[in-house]
Amino acid sequence: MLLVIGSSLALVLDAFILWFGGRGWLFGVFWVLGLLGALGTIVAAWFLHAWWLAAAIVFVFAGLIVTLAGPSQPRRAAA
Amino acid sequence: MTTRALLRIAPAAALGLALMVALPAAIAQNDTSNPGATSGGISGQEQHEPSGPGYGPPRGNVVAPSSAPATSPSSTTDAAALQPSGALPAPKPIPLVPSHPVWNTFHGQLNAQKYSPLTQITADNVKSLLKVWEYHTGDMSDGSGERPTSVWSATPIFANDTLYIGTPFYRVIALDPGTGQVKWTFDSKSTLKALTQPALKNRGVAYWQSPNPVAGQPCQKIVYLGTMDAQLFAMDADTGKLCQGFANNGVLNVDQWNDVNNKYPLSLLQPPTVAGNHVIMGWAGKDWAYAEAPPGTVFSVDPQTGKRQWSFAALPPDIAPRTGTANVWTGMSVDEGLGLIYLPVSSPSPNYWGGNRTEKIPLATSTTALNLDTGEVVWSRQWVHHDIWDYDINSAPTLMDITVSGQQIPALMQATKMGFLFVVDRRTGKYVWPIEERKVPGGDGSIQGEVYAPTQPFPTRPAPLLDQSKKPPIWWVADALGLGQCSRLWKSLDYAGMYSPPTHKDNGVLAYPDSAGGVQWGGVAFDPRGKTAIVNFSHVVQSIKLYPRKEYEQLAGGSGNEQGFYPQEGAPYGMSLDNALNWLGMPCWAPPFGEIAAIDMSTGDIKWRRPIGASQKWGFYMPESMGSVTIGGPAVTAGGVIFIGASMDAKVRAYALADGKELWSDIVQAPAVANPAIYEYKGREYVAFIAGGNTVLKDQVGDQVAVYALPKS
Repeated sequence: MLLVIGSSLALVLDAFILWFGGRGWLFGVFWVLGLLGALGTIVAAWFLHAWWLAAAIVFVFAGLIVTLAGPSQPRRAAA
Repeated sequence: MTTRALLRIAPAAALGLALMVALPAAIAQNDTSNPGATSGGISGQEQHEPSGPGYGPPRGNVVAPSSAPATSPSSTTDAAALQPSGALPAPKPIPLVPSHPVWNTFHGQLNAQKYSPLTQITADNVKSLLKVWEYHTGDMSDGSGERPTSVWSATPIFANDTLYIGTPFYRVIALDPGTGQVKWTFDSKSTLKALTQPALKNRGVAYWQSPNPVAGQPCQKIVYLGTMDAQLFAMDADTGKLCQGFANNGVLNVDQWNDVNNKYPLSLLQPPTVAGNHVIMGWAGKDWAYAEAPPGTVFSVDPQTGKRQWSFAALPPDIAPRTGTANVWTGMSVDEGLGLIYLPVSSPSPNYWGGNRTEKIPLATSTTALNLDTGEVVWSRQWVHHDIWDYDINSAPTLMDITVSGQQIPALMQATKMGFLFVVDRRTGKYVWPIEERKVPGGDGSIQGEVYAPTQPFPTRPAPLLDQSKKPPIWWVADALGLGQCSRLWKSLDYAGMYSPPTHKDNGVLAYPDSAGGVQWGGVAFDPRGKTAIVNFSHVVQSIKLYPRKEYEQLAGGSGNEQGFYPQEGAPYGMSLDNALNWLGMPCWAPPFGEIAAIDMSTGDIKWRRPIGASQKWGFYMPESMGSVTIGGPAVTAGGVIFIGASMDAKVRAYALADGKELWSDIVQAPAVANPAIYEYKGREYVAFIAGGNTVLKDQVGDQVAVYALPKS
């Protein structure tokens, strides 16, 4: 369970980095890390029978796709 | 960055690998066949010649195990195992199956069928089952404090319109069966020390009521509670107050009869069997600790006075002082019509070395039928000759009336640790389907003083539940993650087929099934309408090694629950017992780890078998296709439903009697390692589970009574 909590917290951190970070190579790295983390967490949720967590990770996947489709310029610069 | 990425990927990779493991197993989920499970002993071509009359010297060399099924019997005579029959008591007109719903004893009924004729809950509506009440006793310990871990395997009993439960802190709680409200409690104030067991254990209480109650007098209905320190408490079933006329003001000190090798008290963990005017007690001891231990005497006492009526000892008196046990530590069954009580008798001491008891001890590791009123042996059938594997007969035989080849037979099925189901005529002990004496491996010469039985009994029907003709296949995932550790372990373990004896060589001998057993004390349920037997069983591999005393003293570390080092003090050998796991704690043998099966008792054929439950490690559930090791047994109803907890995942389940399909499940506080109870109260059918846990399964304890029923319409 601690593994899942840690993984979920890392996903939240990843989301912040993707949201506030730029669109450079770091974006790609963190996007891939987020995808792997979400995949790992949903598999863990499956094996833990934590269906609520599996449902939450579906939103993470949706967020990752939305991030890809987001503005190409860094949000800080846009502001 | 790299570190973070690795940290992130690692769990995903591990879990992905687990998924890879799950998929092939899931594909095999509906494969209920087990072609290997028809064998046992040494196959025809590889049978050793017997070593001579009686028990023989060690074999010279271990013959390579064979994958071929054993088809060539050595003999099908009863002479090697069956003791001459004594006189049957005069029959009484008491039916084997009660005409009304009964769940007033450990196995539901004295016939140990664990069968309820209730039909309110059916295979069609069981999915609507709801938890209608639960009760927490508060009597549990995880072992972190001063108290030892609790292991609670009590089956609630329903009698006197009350649900009675015993707890591992040796209290009795009387509950309203419909609401769970407490009627009364009784505290024995017994010592909470693990005097003979690795944990505080309790399997419940027993109940008696007078056939001729005296109005206005207490203790016309009595509840009995046994304790770790060998005290039997008798209390009024209506009030919970001790029965002053019973023994010493309501307490019988059973240890007063512990007069040979009294190394430890006679722990009364299994509730007594109450039949007619008899309260019959076996007891549990301290396994694997001593070569010379208390002999396993069974006592019958008067239900109201506690006065001893008769006793039975499986060990001849001249042998008892230098060995011990052959006790009855589990439930017994009774045919009141025939006037017989059936005892599952355990192995003599010490468990894994028999050099101090080289004579034949025919009543040890047996099913023995006694005259209920006198305690005299009517017949006895030995299931393991010269037992050096701790293959205690660990469950009450299930009594059943069956029809085989057009002949009606009052039968008895004895499930065993070995995964064998022996079926005999319960009047005489003679087999229903042939039981063959097959040649088995001898020793390798590494154990001084030991002798070996040249043959052992093997049933032909039903087929053995486990395939013990060869080493079980290695689970490739455990082997891969263990970097070949499992393969190396398999190579280093001796095994020449079932009954390969303990050894000092290499890593010892492979033991399959494990010391806890293929089938455990939950025993076999039976549906008398469809003549179907239901049994759950585990697949667990252990290794056993004997160490000469000096070597043992240098090596011995701690012992756990059913594994670790054990001294066998007084024997020239100490021993170790270890589960066959890799460094990650994964089983080295291939799943399933536990199954449940239904057997047609007209033919002895297996109707269906399937994995049961799910294994769990660090909170992760493995796929149900892998099954779970189980502790605790099933119950079956006329509604066509099998209820069982028992699995590692702390779920209670309902299966269809017809095809084994899982129909319902719920999560409880801890593994429900007790048989469920089924009862009717005020027109409503209830199913009660006790979720108490057992550290043999996993480190999770509970104190929950969970009771289910259909919603009120």
